[in-house]
Amino acid sequence: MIAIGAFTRSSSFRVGALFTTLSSAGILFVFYFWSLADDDKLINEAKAALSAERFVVEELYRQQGIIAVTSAIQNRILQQGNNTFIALLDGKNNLVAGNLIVPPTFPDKTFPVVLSLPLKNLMVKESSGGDRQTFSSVLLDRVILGTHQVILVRNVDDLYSTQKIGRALGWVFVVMLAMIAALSFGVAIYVVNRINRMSRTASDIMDTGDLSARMEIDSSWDDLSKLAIVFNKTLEKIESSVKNIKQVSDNIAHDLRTPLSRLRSKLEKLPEGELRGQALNEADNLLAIFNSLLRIADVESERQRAGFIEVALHHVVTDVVDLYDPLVEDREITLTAHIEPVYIEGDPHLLFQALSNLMDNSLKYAVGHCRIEVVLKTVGARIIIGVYDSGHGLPTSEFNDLGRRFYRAEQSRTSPGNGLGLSMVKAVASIHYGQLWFIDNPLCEESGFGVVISLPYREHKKRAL
Amino acid sequence: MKALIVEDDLTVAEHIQAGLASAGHQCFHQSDGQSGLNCALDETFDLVILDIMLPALDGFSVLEQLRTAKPALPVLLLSAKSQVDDKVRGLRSGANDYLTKPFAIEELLARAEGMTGRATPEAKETELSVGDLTLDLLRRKVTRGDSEINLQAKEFQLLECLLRNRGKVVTRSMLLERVWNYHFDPQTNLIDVHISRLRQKVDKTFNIPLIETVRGTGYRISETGI
Repeated sequence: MIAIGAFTRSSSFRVGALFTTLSSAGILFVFYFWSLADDDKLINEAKAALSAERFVVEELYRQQGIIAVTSAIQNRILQQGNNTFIALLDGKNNLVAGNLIVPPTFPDKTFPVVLSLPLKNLMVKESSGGDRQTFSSVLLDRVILGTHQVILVRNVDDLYSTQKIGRALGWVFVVMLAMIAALSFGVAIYVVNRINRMSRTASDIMDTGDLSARMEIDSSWDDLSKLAIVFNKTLEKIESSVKNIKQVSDNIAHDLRTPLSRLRSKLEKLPEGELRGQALNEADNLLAIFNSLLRIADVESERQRAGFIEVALHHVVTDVVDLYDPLVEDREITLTAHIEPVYIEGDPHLLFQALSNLMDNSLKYAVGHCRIEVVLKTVGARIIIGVYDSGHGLPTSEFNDLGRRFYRAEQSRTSPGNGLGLSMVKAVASIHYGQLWFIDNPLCEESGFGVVISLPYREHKKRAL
Repeated sequence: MKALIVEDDLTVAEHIQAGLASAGHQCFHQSDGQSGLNCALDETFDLVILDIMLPALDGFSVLEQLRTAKPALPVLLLSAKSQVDDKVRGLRSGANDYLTKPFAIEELLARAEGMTGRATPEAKETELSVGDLTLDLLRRKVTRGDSEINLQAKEFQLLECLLRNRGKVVTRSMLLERVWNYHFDPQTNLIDVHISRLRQKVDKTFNIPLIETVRGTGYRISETGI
């Protein structure tokens, strides 16, 4: 069994995919805002502020002349922060007023213009001290006032640097995102492979009952390896417990059956009589129950798979039918058999025992003139062994309990039997990797009961060789 | 018959000893594998009854060494284990028969006597007979007196099995194992039905019945009165 068929269905892949999607969305969101900034909206705002200033200067010059402009500029530089600079130059490019020490040389462009770096000859006189500053990019405007000109400068370094850092970071993000996506993809494949290998081991243990199998541990750094280690320890514990139980039950077999048979042999020594016969019968029943129980436990321990051979199942079924034929005839029951040749790997004695138990059951509950039908056929990839009868049947509500040890259906409590027959059949079916099904009225008569042993068709090595 | 019992459970050993003695056989007992093996190698026995779970040396190992030294000595394995693979392993490693504990003493006796009887070279026999009943193994024909009896395949095998052990008890489980080749316990009186069919054909129309039911054990074919 593979736990995760497609690795895209694993949780690690989904987490990775979700993370990648969310990060992509986040980056797109950020890029959107940067693209807004890239549309020069902020620069345009700065330009608008600059043209407002230009308007003020022009209006002042028009109304009150150059003297007013000069004094206004001198007043302004006292209040201005260090993002806006202004210079009034006379016709010979000498600084009349303002905080620009060395006016820049202007490229032949329309104003306002954004000049980008480096502007080495743009010297700024700080209002407070006399420090010189350089800027990598400024917004610059020139207002011609007769022979004079006013240079308006606005520092837009901040606006651009934000964009540049943002863009650089954006690419870093994109690369990181790609790496994360690739990594989570890789981790998902790795994790899925590991989990599938673990689940394969687990289902193998389930199928074969081989508790000695262990998960492979190729590293020990991740949680899965730790889980595998814990799992292996659990298996070890279970294996040793099962061994202990087996040991104990072997001992019980050895220790209890012997006194039981001693008891029986002492009973045999009693003088002949009705009581002796009854006591011997009781002892035999007790021993039979004990033997059946041990036998079932033995089959369930699945050790007997070691002795599996190729079995011509149709021969086993035919033998059972032949063996029961005289008994069936004596009771005036019609026995029909539909048998197809089928080969499986298994234990012929156990299969024979199982079928004989089913026949015993059908005979026990089948009254005269009943029909019993035995079927062996392959249906798709499964082998069907069915024993159907037209006896008085069983209520379907009891079907779930039928495989339980010592369970006896309501109607059969008075008839002989110990309630272990079907448990044995169930154990035999499961040691052959099969299941047990019960069918109500399989022969479509007035009533009836059917048992189907459904075995998987397993390719076996011996025939392939 | 001189039998050696190798069994660590003294009560079981006593039980077997008493049973064999009452049937007129001579018994020796050893309680561990090593001394059992030594004893079996040193002395001459007609039969070894060998437990599998033994101290010192387990039954399989004893059997293995015994087989190389004395290949013709009949060995009956006893085990508290009911696993079929144990049975198969035991029979493969050369045991002549296998019995699961607990067993009825009659079952053990029947098997023990059957085994020692087989020491005669029966393989050459082409005809088995008791009284006026003859079974021809080559032509696969059964006659009683002058009349031929038609038997089905299984009935023929049943009769053959009884005749091979003529005069001795054959238990129901021995019949199941030897005629049907399956190790299993039937919950119904299957064998009895088959025997009664056989009786219908072999005994019914004749005055002297040959097949006799031994109460609680099995069947025996013999000339009545012997």
